[in-house]
Amino acid sequence: MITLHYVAQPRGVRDCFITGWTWLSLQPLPTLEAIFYMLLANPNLLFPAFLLAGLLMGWLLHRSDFCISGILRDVFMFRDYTQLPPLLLVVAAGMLLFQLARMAGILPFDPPPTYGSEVSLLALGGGLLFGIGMVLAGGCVVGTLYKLGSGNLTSLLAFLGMLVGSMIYAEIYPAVAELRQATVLTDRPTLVQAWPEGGLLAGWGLVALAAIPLVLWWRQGRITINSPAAGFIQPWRVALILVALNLLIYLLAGWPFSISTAYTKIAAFLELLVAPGHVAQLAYFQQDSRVIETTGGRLTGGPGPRIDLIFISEIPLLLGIMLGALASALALKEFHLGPWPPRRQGMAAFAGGALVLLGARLAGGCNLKFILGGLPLLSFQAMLFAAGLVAGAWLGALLLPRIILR
Amino acid sequence: MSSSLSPQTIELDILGQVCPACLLVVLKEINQRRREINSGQTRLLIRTDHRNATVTVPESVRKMGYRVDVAKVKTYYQIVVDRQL
Repeated sequence: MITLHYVAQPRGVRDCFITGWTWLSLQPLPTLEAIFYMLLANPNLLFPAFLLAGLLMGWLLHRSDFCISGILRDVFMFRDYTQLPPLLLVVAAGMLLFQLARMAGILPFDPPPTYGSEVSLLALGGGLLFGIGMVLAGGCVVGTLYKLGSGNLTSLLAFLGMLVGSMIYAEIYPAVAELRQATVLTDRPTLVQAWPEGGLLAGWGLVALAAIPLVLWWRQGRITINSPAAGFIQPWRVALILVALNLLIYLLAGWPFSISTAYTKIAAFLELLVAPGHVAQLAYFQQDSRVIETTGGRLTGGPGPRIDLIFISEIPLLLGIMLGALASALALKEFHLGPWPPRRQGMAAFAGGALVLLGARLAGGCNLKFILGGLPLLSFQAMLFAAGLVAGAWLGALLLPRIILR
Repeated sequence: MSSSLSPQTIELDILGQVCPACLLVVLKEINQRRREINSGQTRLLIRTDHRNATVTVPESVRKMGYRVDVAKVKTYYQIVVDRQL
């Protein structure tokens, strides 16, 4: 009774924390079955859950500048390998966690519903366009958001380019769909499905292989980055938090992070304002790219302008990343809107943004989906995308100086 | 003698720009003014609001043999590139 009285009258932050903790401790523990896929059982929780995840990601990415596009670009453009360890860590730690979760029986061996069942060579071409675009844009679909959240207008131009890239893809979709069918390589989307006896073992081999340079870098002190930026958080710490967050979302929602369809949906809503008749005719905006069967019924989502599964998961993630970065920039007193970049840089960012989203749509996902989730899941589509991405980053690194230093 | 005590400060404003443009623009400026900076006549003062540039610019410029100081000023960062003392 004393505790309850105390609970009823919290004073200050510490009391509120104790109140919440006391309330939680009085609740019966949920079963494992109730935790897994709890967001699908309660779709109303999807929006706040993805918003919260986005807020955390935006804050952490702004503090650490953990930017996949930047890491690959700097390797080719400046022979700078400083930030490569956190990138390898994010893939290796993700693979380790997913392998463990699969063996523990808390993750299925089949890939998540967001990965489709067919692997097309278009993932390679999409990765290539994405790689070139992210170098020109100065960020990928996630990097652009956290930079935009801190007030950067180059990233605003890249963001607008991504919306235009989405609109272009909707126009060429029928031709791309035919090409996709013509370039299907296999109907077994992961190494584990293609090679049930050895796929998982190969995963462990890859984790061990990645551990060698990581341990070496750790012992040489090259895993940490010296930065004079205020409130800096080490990228390797952020890499580990992102991996854990991705697994948590996978367990709660049923699929790991993906975000690029949010751009397509925003583009579709904007196009709907201007040309509703045309939007209604575009086949791409009518289809469902995500169909998930749950005990409560079927949940669907697609790129079209409607409230659906994509709207309540990827859109809040996108908003959350921007708002999290905004909060971090405000807390550091670093938020400043503008100025506009020089004309050539602005044009490169806009065109790069369009290429990024065209590439993501061709490949069926972005680097958040394929590098953070797909490679650890041993997805063939992710491997093709990653190969294209590296080649594209190399091409982009050749191209960008010729554009902006003229 | 006076030039080595109080070098002329050339200001480079790259506010609003993101990497790799930040580093490319800075390296171009340093290469163009290499002799003046090496002789101590000039130092370069860069203003950037791109946090990552406070890592990439000093690292590259130090490798080229210059002295670099980074300080936060209001909402942005100021990077000073000078010859080694």
